[in-house]
Amino acid sequence: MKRSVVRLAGSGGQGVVLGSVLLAEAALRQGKWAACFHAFGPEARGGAARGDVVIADGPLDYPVSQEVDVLVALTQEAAQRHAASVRPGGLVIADTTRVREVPPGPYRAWRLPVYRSVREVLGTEAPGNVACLGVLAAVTGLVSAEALGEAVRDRFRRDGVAQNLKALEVGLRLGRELLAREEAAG
Amino acid sequence: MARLRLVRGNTACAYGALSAGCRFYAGYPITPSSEVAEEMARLLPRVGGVFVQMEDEIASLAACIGASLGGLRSMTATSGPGFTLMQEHLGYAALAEIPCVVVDVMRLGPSTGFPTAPAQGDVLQARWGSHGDYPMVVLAPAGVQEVFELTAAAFEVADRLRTPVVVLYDEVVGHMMEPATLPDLSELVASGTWRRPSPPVQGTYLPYAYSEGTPPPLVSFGEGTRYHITGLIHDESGFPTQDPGKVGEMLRRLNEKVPEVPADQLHPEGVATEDAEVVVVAYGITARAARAAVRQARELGVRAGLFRPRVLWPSPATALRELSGRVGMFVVAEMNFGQWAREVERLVGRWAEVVTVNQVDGTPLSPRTILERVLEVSSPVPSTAAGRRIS
Repeated sequence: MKRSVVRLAGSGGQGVVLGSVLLAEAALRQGKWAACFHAFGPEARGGAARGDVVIADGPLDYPVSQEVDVLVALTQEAAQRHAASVRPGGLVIADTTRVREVPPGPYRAWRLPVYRSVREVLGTEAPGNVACLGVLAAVTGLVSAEALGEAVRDRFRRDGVAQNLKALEVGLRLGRELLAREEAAG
Repeated sequence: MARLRLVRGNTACAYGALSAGCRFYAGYPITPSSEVAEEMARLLPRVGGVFVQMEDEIASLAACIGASLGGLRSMTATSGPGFTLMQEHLGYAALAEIPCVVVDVMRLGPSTGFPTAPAQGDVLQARWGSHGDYPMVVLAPAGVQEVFELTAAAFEVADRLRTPVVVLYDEVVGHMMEPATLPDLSELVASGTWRRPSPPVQGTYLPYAYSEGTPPPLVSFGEGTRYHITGLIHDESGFPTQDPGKVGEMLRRLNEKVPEVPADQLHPEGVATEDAEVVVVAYGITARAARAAVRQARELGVRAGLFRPRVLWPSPATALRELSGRVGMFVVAEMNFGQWAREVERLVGRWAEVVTVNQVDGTPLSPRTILERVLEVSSPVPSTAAGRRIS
């Protein structure tokens, strides 16, 4: 059975755990099967954190995965540490705010100013994780923008919904612009 | 309405308890079980229940035993270090025949060990951790939905047999999120608080007067009769006895009261065992890896199967022995150095070969590692398939 593994990796407080849950919930809403795994340190903020999402067409015998199809790296340390887990031909999306460079490897690596763009539009970086999901939806099609929007509406309340939906739009726009640039570049 | 959603194993555990009517939780949070306490602390007050954070795990189980005697279904959850502390009261609950549910989410030990890493090292402790001979029921769910179901089942078994029941699963099962169907909070509220139905007592209540191999229904404290509970060996009345005849009889009955399959939904699961020449035995997250390994082995032309116990203790002796009549090779896969493998060896070792595949490094056994072992011990496969052996 086809399975796709997305790893969101960064630092505690960046929302990688919640981001992974939203991604999995969006996949579930589209009738897919999804599982989530988290790893983080004892700190409330800071320290390495990651969320893995496995998306498949149906229930998986064993959802734990060593190899990653898409890595979303939010810190230099995360890019450094997890790039080796990306399968050959896989994809690394790195946020330029805290990732200077992606270690070279047999994968595509795209750098995008996700958190900075979110701050420009919303005045806060908080929903940067949701914007990353927007990028992911635009460039991989693993989940739809609609399903992500529903997951956001279900998860947040009042102002949180509006803010995170805006962040989602920021991410979708960045992703689409990137694809357009890639296409233009051939 | 119950609906499919993304659920963490430990959350499913809390919902399973609440859906069984559990309305009392006393515990001391510990990784990787803490989410059970968190969920119970959040949900119990909303369904009319009581959550108490105790000073330690010894007191936690003591409070659960007290609540159970008061007529409520009670639960605590912990991990290795706390489970060690609970052994004293597990023995007490077993001897005094007081139902309760103890969840042990296994992390790598011994001692403080590696708190966030999975292991399956508490399997023998769950059976024999307290002193003396006593019965123990240990359930081993392998996924989030099953954590919900088996936790609920644990309460039924505990009440019917008047015994503590342990729900035992590893850190991966406890922390991973996967789709599961759980009831909504409104359904849990509507289901109401379970209170033990106390039977009418005529004359003197004899809390340990067995009939047909099972103890009589427990009368809750304060429900119209008085009786005695003690950790001393006691007679039918509950008062201590030193009469060897009564002592021996009491302990024999106690140790024989748990049937091999304590409830219908607790039969072991067999996958592709009908024509199997090699059967992987595994539980918890390891059983999920084993299922994938068995599927891959079949694709390579090896007649592999999976035997997955839902109940580790009492061990499914009949089912395993029956299987050993037609299967010559058992591969026991565990995240320990072969704890349940001893039991498999004891049960089928006279008729079949038992080998193990173990991993004790804080990471779960992968399908590939199990597959490699299966291929190693299975008879040669046709050359075309052999050529496709894993790289």
